Amino acid sequence: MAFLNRADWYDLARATNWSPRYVSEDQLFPPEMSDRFGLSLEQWEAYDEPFKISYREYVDVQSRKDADAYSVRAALARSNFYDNADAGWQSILKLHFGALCLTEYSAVPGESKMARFGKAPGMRNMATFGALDEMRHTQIQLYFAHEFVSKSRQFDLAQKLLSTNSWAAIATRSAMDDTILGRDAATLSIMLTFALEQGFTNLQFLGLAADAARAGDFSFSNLISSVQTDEARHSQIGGATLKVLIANGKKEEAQRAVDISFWRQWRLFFTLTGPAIDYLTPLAHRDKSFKEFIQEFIVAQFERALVDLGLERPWYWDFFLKSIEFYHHSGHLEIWFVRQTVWWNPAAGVSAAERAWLEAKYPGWNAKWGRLWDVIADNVRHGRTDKLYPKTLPMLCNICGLSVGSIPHEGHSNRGYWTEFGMRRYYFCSEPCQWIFNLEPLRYQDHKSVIDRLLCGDIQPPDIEGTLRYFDLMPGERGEDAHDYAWAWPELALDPAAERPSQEAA
Amino acid sequence: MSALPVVCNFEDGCILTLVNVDTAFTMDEVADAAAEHFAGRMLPLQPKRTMRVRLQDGENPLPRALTVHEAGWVPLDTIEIFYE
Repeated sequence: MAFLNRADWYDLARATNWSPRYVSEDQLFPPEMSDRFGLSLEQWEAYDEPFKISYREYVDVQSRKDADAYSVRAALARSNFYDNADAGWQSILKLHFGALCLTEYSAVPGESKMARFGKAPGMRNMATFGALDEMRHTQIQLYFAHEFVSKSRQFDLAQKLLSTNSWAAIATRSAMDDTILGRDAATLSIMLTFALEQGFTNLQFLGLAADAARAGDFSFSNLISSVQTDEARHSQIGGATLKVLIANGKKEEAQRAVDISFWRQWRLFFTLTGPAIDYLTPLAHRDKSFKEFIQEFIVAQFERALVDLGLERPWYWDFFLKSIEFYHHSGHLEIWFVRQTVWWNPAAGVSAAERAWLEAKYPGWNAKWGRLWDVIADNVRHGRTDKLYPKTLPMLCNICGLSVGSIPHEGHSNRGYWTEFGMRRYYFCSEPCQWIFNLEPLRYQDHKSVIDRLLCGDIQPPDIEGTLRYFDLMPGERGEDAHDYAWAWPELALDPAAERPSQEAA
Repeated sequence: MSALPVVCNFEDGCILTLVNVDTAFTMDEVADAAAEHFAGRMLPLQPKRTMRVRLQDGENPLPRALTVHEAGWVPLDTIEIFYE
């Protein structure tokens, strides 16, 4: 039986808008769910998705992707790769699965909202596949993570994390709710698919896939590359939205949506991906630095996408470029210090050879972060265990939920930002986060950061152990140094099997 | 006397940190309370140097004997600790 070419019937088949007679257009597509920009159905008819696919093609391609990923995993199941992998790489797997499995699932309502409430037929079509994509990403990554549960209880967090009150869960839920649940379909198509997926997922899924292949973790590399092929398709939903909005005089509002979401996602991604690429990946298996990946995937590709659409770079672009040099270094050090609050074992990644690599990639690293690690290493060598853990919490931002970081050994290069609103002070890590809050304080006023919860008595007792219990992290799940501090002894870093010297006299 | 949470920006540090101080604390005691979370943990101990306190964007250090109560601080005020 002969089939028509897709191009011969696709546009007609997906022309599913009609003129409602029994309800008004606003009842069929409520603005708060569909389109706060106020465009009519006719104006949305111009929406033209750049990547067209039929359901038959989709199912065929996806079934082959799944077969590939599962068969590679099955073939490598007996390779004992995980057991023989460096502890830093094991931590990347824990971090990735914990952070992403159910975050992928949280994108399903977003794609579904576009599939139901998008005013453009093309958006609805693409988003239907997008929802199926995100279900696949959730299922396949949970399946891969489950393989490791018997190896470490920390892999339980793949299922558990987003239902806890850990700082990472609160930050992720807040960002995803602001992007998905609290936005109309048109806005979320920009925030989720353009700013997050087109902007950042290449970092996690292609940058890390390259490192995974070099590390010999072909199962994981193949898995996340497979996920990214879907992201590359449905991430184009937002670009088509932006073209329609700009053509109809809504450039300023569209730009604002890009600026809000790009910054929120940058705050999450440097925290997740930066340490993984620059510190946790074993040195011998690193491809590029985090900065080099950012420059390739974001500064070059995403910036070009903005310009091609006729948009401006976000107003904070210069600060964003500057922050590539320091945010994740300070974030990594802070996460290592509060490692009991995470579900993976942070690798310090600061042995002599790793420091040389960091200095080459980030000139001046030794004189800044290296000096902080010197103090920590000295405490390790002298057995000052109490100095290796915090006695209080870092200040956390009321928008992104993350710490307020800057460059060390530059006096007071850091600073806080705050807004007084409704009888209280809201605290921010940066000018962009403060700007986001000030745009719509009513949207954000009831969200409580971990610090708010500590200060208002939600966390009891209000100390580190009380906080860990509030985070629902139990012994066995809480992070520890990935290499049992071997990096602090230069001779052990060269030969991990060597006998550890006795602690130096304090 | 009561506890007051302030945000501490310690000289040469890179992360702002929540520190509880007592409203009866003098500025010297505030500096000591803040140093507990930085000096000797990520930054070197400098016991022979005098620490001073100022508010973020404040030009001058606050008098060493001034108390938190007298300074009129409110929750989540941001202070900078620096060595003289």
